[in-house]
Amino acid sequence: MKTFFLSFPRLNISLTAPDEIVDDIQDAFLHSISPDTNLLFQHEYVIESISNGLSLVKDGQVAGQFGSCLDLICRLEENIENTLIQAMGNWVGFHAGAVMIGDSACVIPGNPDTGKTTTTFNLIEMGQIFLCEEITPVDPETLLVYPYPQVLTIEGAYAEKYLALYPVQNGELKILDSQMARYRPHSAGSYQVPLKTILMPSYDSSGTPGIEKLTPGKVFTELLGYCFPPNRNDEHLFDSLIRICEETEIFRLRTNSLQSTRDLLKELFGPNPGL
Amino acid sequence: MLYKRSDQVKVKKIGSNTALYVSDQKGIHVLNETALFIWETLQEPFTFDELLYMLSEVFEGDTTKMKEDLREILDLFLRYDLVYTET
Repeated sequence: MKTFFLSFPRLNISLTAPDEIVDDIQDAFLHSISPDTNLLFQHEYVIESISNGLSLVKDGQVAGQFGSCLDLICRLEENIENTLIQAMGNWVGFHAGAVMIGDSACVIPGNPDTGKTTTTFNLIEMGQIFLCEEITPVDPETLLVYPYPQVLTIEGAYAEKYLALYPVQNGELKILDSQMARYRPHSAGSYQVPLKTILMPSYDSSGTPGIEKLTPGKVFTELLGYCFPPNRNDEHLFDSLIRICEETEIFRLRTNSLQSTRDLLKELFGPNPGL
Repeated sequence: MLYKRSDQVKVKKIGSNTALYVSDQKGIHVLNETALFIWETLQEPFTFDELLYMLSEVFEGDTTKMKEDLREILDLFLRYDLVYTET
């Protein structure tokens, strides 16, 4: 058995896993593993080998039993996400990916299948620094984005299409089947970064690609739908989101193909000299 | 029947837009140009016909469509307790 200490924004956990899955756990949480073995943690997760697979125990309570390590890791990620949302307090939690561009953050929110994760993936592969996947915590007072760099889960078919066109150079892409691929960026930002841009991807195979700048009033209600329910009252979330909308540049990225996504991202952020 | 603003409503500015919010309701409503005009007009209570007249003085367009829009906006205001009626 090995115990890891995982550090997330406003949340530390300990995670004990049997030897046979230690490498998988390390791969899945690479950027969150803390070298500090004296870390004070709020929750304790233990993974145990059982006769028909693996069992996940959180704070002494069984949280599920799984036939495969991947199933367990997916559920564990989900459980940590839910715990993180509750731990964020007065911050705003966006259902979003995020990258660092220059010295500021670009948040990419969206519902499933809108291109949120693939846009994050493309930006990382185009040389931007990975910050967040699935949840992006933002402190509305300081407008700082806190890193939550988890493994990206993308559609397997998309990953295959991507590999046919471009090399993957800034992370490890594993295609599990046509439904699922997992992408682990080689590096990730470890400090909070000021929020500057919100990019809202919109994929329509028959649409015309383009970039549309959005006003706070036009985008507010939609963005509200991408926020996790607040821990404080609704009004605090409204005020926080109003501040975020007013202080950032917000764009809708209308794409109709992988190529158009890359072209528009280059148009918006400029070609990366590192490529 | 007079339409009156609820005193529970909080007004939020979102950039150049205005949104209305009532504490115990789940939701916030960003107003379009017409809805904002009606909300601002309702600083004093008015009847539907009075509001329609004022709307037609300010906005151009088909009266039937304007009437439908006004009805829709007032229904929404009532549904979310932003206004109430008094006879």
